[in-house]
Amino acid sequence: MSAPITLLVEDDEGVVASYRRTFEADGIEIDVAETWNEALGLFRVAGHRLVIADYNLPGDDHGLRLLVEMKLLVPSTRLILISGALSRPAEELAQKVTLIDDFHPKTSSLPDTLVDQAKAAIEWAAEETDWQKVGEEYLTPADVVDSALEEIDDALRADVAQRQSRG
Amino acid sequence: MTDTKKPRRGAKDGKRRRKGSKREPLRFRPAARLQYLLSEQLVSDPNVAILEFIKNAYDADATEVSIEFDLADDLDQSSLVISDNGSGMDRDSFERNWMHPGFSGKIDAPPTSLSRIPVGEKGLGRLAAGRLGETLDVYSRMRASSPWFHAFFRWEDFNDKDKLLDEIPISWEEVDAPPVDAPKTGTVIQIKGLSLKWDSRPPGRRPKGRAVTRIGRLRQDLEVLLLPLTAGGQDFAIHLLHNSPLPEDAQGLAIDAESAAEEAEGAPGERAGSAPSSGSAKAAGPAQAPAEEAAGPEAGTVEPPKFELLDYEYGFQVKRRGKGWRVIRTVRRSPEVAEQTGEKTESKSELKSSELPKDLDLAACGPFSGSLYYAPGSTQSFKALRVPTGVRIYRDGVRVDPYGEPGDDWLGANERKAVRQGHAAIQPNALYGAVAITREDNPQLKPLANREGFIGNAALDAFFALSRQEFQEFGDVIERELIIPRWEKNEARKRSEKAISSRQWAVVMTRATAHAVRQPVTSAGADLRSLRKAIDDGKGIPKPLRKRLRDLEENTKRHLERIDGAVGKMLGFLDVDPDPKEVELSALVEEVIARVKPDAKSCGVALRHEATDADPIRLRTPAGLIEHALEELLENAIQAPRPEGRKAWVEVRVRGGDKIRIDVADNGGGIDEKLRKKLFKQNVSRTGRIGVGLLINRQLMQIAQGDIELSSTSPEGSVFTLVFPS
Repeated sequence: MSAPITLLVEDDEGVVASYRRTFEADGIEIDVAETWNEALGLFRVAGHRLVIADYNLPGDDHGLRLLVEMKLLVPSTRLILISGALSRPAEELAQKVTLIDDFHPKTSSLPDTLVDQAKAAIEWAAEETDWQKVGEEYLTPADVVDSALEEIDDALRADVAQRQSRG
Repeated sequence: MTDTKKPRRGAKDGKRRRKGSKREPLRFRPAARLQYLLSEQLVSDPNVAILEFIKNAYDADATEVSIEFDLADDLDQSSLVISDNGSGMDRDSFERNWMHPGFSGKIDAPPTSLSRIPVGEKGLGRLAAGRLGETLDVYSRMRASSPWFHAFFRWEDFNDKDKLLDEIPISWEEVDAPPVDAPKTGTVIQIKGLSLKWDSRPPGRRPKGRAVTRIGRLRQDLEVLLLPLTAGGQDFAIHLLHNSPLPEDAQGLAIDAESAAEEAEGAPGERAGSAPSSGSAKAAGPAQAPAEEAAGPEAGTVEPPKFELLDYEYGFQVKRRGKGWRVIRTVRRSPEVAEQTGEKTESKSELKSSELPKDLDLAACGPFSGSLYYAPGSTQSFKALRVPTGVRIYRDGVRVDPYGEPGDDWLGANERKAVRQGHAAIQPNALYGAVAITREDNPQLKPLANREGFIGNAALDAFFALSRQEFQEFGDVIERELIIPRWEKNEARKRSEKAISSRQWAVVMTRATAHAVRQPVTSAGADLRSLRKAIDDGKGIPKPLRKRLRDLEENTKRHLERIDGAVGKMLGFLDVDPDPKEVELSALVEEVIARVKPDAKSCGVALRHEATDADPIRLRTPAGLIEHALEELLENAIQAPRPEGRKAWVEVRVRGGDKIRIDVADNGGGIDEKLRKKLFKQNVSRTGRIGVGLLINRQLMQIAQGDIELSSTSPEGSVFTLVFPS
């Protein structure tokens, strides 16, 4: 079994235990962090290829912002946001944030999807690095700060404003 | 025996008379002090004494009357001159009118040459002069070519208990001119040794709305003396002049400190001086009137208030019609109020005899009319117009004291406010108006000699009761058109705020619930996947058991998917926008059809949309609720059980008319009667399963002022209809 290339950021013990079992049943080792800060610390050390983060996280900030921080550190990392409580417009907003590769509500079929994603990440990690492609896709920190962070801020603000205007 | 005794002298009928009795009847011989007492003690308000002279000038067809105070620190040195350019008097007419207290040639006199109905009909007003000062000089002449007749009264002379009234000599003479400025003809009254400091503040608490000083209050009384637009009253200008050295605000000419401050800012305007008013109420804005006041001795013309429509005018006329009576009511509204209330600018109604109180003696009272003006929240406008609040009574165009004065509540405006704990429809401080009676129409409505109200009788009872009834009706109009809608608006706002807070609470709770459900569901999904893996990989599991385990795993998966669906739907409710917006109905239907199309396709159901009206149907409605309800109906229709072999379809039809309808028709097998009864009563879907169901959707439609109906159902299919008001 190789070193984990998938990081699950989730604070619910039941979810973590079940997910870990199902990943391991498929032979996939994962790292798990329960808080925003712990996740960032782990990511700085391991530079995971796939990060699956809950939207609501204990710690310094939002799950969405955590993913942006990670993207700044390793732009090629694949980022998946999961949530148990987001409404449809909020999901749509999250998906509009181009730095997020995917968004999924926490349904009973989500583990299937995540296992598939983890397998794909492993395959991708095993491939020879196409440095030219990496160079083309590489985002400078400035790109991220100037575009992605603002985009996320706008998205979050829009979500809040929409909720306030409706009620 | 015969009685030969002669009857005593003076006893013709044989009855005895006491020694010293005379044949002449007894007669009153008023003491001189009567005059003294009447002048000192009859009239409580000194303003009334001045107003009596003004009324005399009015009766004498004067077009101008001037009241000039020469005020000094020493009251003995203070004087007051009231001069008018009326018809004047010579010695004979003076003796006939002035020297006979209680005599008045004005009783039942016809209108004057200026169409004025004489108001000083009691012959008592002149007696009140003693209230004002120590001496009275009267100068008068009828023709410019005649000398001035001058009579002199010293009131102290009458304070003699041993003399009769006619034993006090009144000296008179003829002079070339009065010692003060005088018109060519008319009457000049000079009062010396004033008894009051007119530029001081009267003792006691100042009534609300009253000026601070006596002179300020006199001006207020003069302003409302004549009913504006009274016949003959339009050419009657009153000038109030004084030499008070006090600054204007200390004089209290302004009604209160606030208007004094406003007036102090006013630009210097014309010095009115002796310029007569044309009679019709001149605009008396805050800039002009104070400038006149500020000009001191040269200041001048007393402006009557502008009776003009601010927000509401309520007019009523009590009329005789045949043997019965009618009250004709007219409500006029400003364009702004008309727009706000959705009412016409003018509306009329009539109250018949049968609708009038039975116990009122209207015949004794006679016909009369009134106009009430109300501008809620516009006391500033009142001040700008210099309109004193209160409803006054005018008899032949001249005010009857004390009705409408601050503190007088003849109409019951303050009483009504007090009874309703301050929540009366009409606030007295924003109400003014006039009720008009005439000597001819209302002979039994007679003012008291002391000018402090009417004589109490059945006519007065009817007059007051009917006036109060009309005031109450006006209040009802205000309540109906302004107060209740405002109250309802506030209630709606409160309901809305409550709904918003309830909704915010619901959003938070729904999210929290969704989160709480989804965490174990996604865990269960993961564990189920692990279980499946274990079953697949498990060696030694007997085949039948493996199949059984797989079946159970599949069933559990389906159950979990149903929970996923329910939670998704629950969160979907949070996205329903309940705010009304303008929508084009076919476009809305298309959008919802697009949303359910994938589901229809996977179920093999053909979806059709038909608009039966050529023109697009637009309406303002909470579109989010409609969309949600329609989506639910479509999903139900798509999933409706159908007999084997039937090619499934669902059709949506949009229809206009008196009500707008969206039909969702399907060719399912119909709804059996047992389920039909429960459809809108319990949370059941049309397939009979427990779910969000039609009940909630019907409630959503009712929020949108619409409804859901089951229009038809048979084994060939069903039609559910969303109905909206057009």
